[in-house]
Amino acid sequence: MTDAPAGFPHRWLPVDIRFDSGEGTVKWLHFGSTSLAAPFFNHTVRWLTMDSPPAAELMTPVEVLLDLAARLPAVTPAGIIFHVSRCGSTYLGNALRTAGQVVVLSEVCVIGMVSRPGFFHGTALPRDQWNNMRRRLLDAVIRVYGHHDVASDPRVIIKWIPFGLLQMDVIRDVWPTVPFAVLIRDPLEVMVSNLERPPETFVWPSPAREGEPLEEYYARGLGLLYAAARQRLDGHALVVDYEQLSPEMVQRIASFFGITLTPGSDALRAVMATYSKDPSRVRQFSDDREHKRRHANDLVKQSAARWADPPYIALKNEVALR
Amino acid sequence: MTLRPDISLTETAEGAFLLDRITGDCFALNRLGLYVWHHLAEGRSSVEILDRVASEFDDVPRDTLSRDIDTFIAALEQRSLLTP
Repeated sequence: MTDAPAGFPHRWLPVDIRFDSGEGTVKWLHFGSTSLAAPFFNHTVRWLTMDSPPAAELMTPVEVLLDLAARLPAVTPAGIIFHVSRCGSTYLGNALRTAGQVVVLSEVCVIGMVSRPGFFHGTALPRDQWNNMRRRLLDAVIRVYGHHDVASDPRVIIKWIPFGLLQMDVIRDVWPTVPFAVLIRDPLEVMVSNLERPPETFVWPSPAREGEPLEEYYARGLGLLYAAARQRLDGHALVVDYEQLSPEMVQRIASFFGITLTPGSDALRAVMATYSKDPSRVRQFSDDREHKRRHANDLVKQSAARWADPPYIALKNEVALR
Repeated sequence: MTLRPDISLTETAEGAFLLDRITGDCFALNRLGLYVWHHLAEGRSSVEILDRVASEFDDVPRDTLSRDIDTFIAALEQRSLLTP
């Protein structure tokens, strides 16, 4: 064990937690003046670790994280965003960030890791402590991240990777009453987008079948996400289709999370006019639905019709009845 | 013989997707598997399940159904998805 660097833990964030050995360890990264404003957290981490010199790293026992977090005020997430990918969730996150006090934790790997079923499996931690340790770790991580950019009363929104829809039982065990939005989109458009630009984190829990075309593999996975969402809706859920994602709907989702957006603010207008995944916020947004539909080949259409459309329609019908 | 409570199940057109929340392992069930799963969840024995399946799938020999159900339950046991 070495001494912590001067200044720790100010402007440091936990980016990895492992229980490989008997005692859990946390990897910290020095964020310095870097905020969490980029559309994707992993991009921020990549910039920091590839910078010259790279950001400093530090390993500590898990207890250090728990102790440091306990000194910060408690933070309950204001809302959770689940999504099926390429459906406006990044745009929504960017829009919510324009409100005061809001911290959007967009696909933060350490949060996803701790929430993952099986995270403690094979570790020395006794099984009867797993649920409690998961809650403590997530609570600690949210406190530390929440206060990174906002000193007082941060309003934290957690945006999951698409796989989060299959982890909902675990996530909602931790935060059963936190409102959550499920963003969906027509399967054909999602599939074309993913095929054109293969994703970094669009990972299905099971691999493709032998010889299975990518189109079918995506359609099956997408169908599973819609089905998982439909089977876990309750009074805390708001389901929004990409085609409904107007500025008014963004306001409604913000209100659902207890957040007030300022209509017509320069920041919000800028978000709505630019491509959400562009960290420089320069590229103009354009509605690409027609493009996506035109570029869907027969296999995409057949796969979507067989695997993804029925659960998508069932989800939309379920929402319409609520 | 009961199903473990910490298994997340999502029904699909093919059957179901199971996620073991302890190990993180994933499994797929076909429709017969899902049918049996639901009856196991209701606490029925393998004999009771066979009777019900046989009445629904009357074009399949009872021996075949019995073998399929036994194989399925053995697979669940092997993957520790059942508690004794």
